[in-house]
Amino acid sequence: MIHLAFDRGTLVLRGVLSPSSAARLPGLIWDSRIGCHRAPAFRYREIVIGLRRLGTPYFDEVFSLSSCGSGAFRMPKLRPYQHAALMSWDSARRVGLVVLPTGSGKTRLACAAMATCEVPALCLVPTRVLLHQWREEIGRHYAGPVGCLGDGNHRIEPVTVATFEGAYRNMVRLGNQFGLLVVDEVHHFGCGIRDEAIELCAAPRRLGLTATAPNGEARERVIDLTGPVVCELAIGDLSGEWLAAFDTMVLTLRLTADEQRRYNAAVAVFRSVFDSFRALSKTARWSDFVATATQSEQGREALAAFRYSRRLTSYPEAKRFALAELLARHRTSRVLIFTSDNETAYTIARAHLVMPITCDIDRAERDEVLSAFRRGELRVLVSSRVLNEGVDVPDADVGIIVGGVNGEREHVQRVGRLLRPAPDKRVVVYELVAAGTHEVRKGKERRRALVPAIHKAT
Amino acid sequence: MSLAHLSKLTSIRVISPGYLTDADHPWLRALLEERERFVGQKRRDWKVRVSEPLSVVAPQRKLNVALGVLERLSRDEALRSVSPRKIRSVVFHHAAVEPDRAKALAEAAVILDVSPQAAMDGLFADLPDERTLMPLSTPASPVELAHACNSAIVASLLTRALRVRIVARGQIRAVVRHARLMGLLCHAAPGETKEEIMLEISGPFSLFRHTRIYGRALSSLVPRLCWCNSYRLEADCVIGTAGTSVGRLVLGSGDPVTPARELARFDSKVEERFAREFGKLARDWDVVREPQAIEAGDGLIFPDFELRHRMTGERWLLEIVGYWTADYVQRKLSRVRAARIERLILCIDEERHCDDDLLEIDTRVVRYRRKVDPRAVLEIVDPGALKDVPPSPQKRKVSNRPRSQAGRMRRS
Repeated sequence: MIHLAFDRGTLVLRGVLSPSSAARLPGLIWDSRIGCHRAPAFRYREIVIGLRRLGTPYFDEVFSLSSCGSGAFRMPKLRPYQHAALMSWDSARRVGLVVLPTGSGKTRLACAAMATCEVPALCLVPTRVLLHQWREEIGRHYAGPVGCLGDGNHRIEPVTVATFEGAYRNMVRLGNQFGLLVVDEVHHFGCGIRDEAIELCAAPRRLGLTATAPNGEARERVIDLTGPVVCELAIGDLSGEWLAAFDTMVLTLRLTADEQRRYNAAVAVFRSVFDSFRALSKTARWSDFVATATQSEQGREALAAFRYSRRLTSYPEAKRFALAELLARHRTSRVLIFTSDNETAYTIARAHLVMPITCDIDRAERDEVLSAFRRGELRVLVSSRVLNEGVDVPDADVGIIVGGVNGEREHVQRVGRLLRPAPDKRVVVYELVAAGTHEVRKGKERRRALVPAIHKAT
Repeated sequence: MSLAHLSKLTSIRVISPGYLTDADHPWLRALLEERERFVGQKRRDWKVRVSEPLSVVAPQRKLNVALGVLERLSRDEALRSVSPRKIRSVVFHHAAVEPDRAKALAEAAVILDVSPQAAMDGLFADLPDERTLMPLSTPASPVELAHACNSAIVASLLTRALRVRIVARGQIRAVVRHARLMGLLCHAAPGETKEEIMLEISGPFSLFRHTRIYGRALSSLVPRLCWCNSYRLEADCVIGTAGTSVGRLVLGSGDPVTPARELARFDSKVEERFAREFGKLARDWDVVREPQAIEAGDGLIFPDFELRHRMTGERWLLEIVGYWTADYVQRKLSRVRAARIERLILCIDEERHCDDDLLEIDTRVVRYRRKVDPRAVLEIVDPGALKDVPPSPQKRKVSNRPRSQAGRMRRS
């Protein structure tokens, strides 16, 4: 008989297993250190299915599950598309990735998944802000205490929310204590660095949530870790009915002559090195270029020039004027301003006396500020990244994108912040683009992430 | 890259860590002097300064390491009489209702009892880049800074380790204990000479790929090696951005490694408490800390204590186990029996197990929570002695939460 056990983020199989049988169990390798077979913990479900198909008797000692308490979960009320997503996930044997726009209620869907499974659940979230937001939402649908791992907390309960960092540090011990793993903003995985937090977990039921599924290799990796895409809806599918309708206005602004000259010079320095590198390695990634460039004086100058060119376009003179105009025009609206970096956010904060929300602002102050925004005591918030994802930002009806660095995904996330539905609500999103710079091309790529979705819905 | 791939490699190139040497002292001195000049100025000004060249040319990679070390040694503070958070609250609330910026600022300043300029200066004074640099928490010379940089280089390389092999003499137990505490797999075997012990240590997941969690655990072993009489370490590290190449880092006694704090007399409070309580309970027995490692099969066992009867000379060994699985304990007991070591007691922590408790009942295994019951140990080593000892008061057992049996599934 095979004995299956959890060991510090892995599964250990004791007992006699023929080489042909072992080859049919995914991820299984002979570990000469202990004289047994071993597999990554996240392969648990596939290995159990494999053993059953082989007709191999086994004794499963993997999990150490606490009881959630009978009737502790309450099924939340779902919108039709949330219900459809839940059904798709359920029929995919409760393993899969759900892609839903920001503001469409992914947290609620996760609560519904927990109520469906009624097993101990671990929810992973990217930031400390979302940690507390998720705990509150779960608390509305679950009668038991909700544990918290991260942001200085270490309390494990049958239902626990953890930051990615908190999960990665503790999964070697916790990986067999939950029957369901929920991963919010799952697009952060798939690149190797953070994947340990999921790989070390044996939970057989998995729900990945995102508004922007990754592409290429990262997508394949995320699917391997959390399951296939079982439901995918874009902003355009829900806009107007379940999300607010919106208009986007692109303001293409000219740099001053001096700014343009300095930008062109910086790009020339960067390009002279980067183009040579790409000619030699067409498939190399940006990180490969950076690693190579840092090793030579010329390469370092090219990187410095690249950073300088980005700084020039983050908040040039024309954007300053445009922003002042827009803020004056929308004096009575609730406005979210998005920048490419913290420095620009603080510059705007000082210039217009508006509150910045950055990673340097602690949670207590941030919560106070968001409450004041909700009550209408503050009308403008400026942020570089913190408000990009998941944060429960109260109703805003104007978005001004002063700068951004992370392409389509960031753009979709940001626009999503504004689309919380309300009666007769129509949102306007301004995008400030510096003419004659990389922003023109980047801007088109970003908007493509929204446009096909709109066309799909019409 | 994984251990499985590693075993197929015919050769592994040795990494040259690029330590800082005497030749780097001039620019290190220039850096320290510059840092001293910036005491009292804002952190963001320091960041701008270090992005520009120093008065003495510095190799960029080494400079980055030195800046990282200085950052860890740096202190700063926000020098403000009025809390920046309060300033933000008052100023931004006023600006939300008063469209004239100057007027809003002036009104807020009156409430805060500061000038408008002071209000603006204090707006973000508590944020990291706005804080004022103080002198280094530990004054450093170029020599000390170079040493700290080299330790940082070693630590950084070691976090990429898949596996380490160590040959050491003396105080090796602390390394073994720490390895087990960190959840690492540690195999110990006799070395070429009587005093030497060989260790091969890796993380459970190393079989599949390098992970940060176990890389950091391996890195944390090295400061404890400094307390050995001598050591040589070979670490097989994943290098390159693609993570498909391996290099070998070799370290030995005298290499730049910051030692761990002086080793404690006991590795844990559990051990300390057991030694004290058993000593009081069992007056006929001596408790000897850290006896010699003993061979068991192809490896070594490191008992924590030897219990020695004063009259009869009877000896028992006792080991307090960190991470364990039923599988690990069963295998250990099998090795012990095969090596004909009859008198070894394993104490296993019920709160640090990795799987459900289906461990076969064994007279030589004592379970504990928070403390090892000396009576349970005495019952094994000297059952007759317990007759003369009054029973200890019963404490009500409180379980944190109910554990389901759902984890145990028998399938066929």
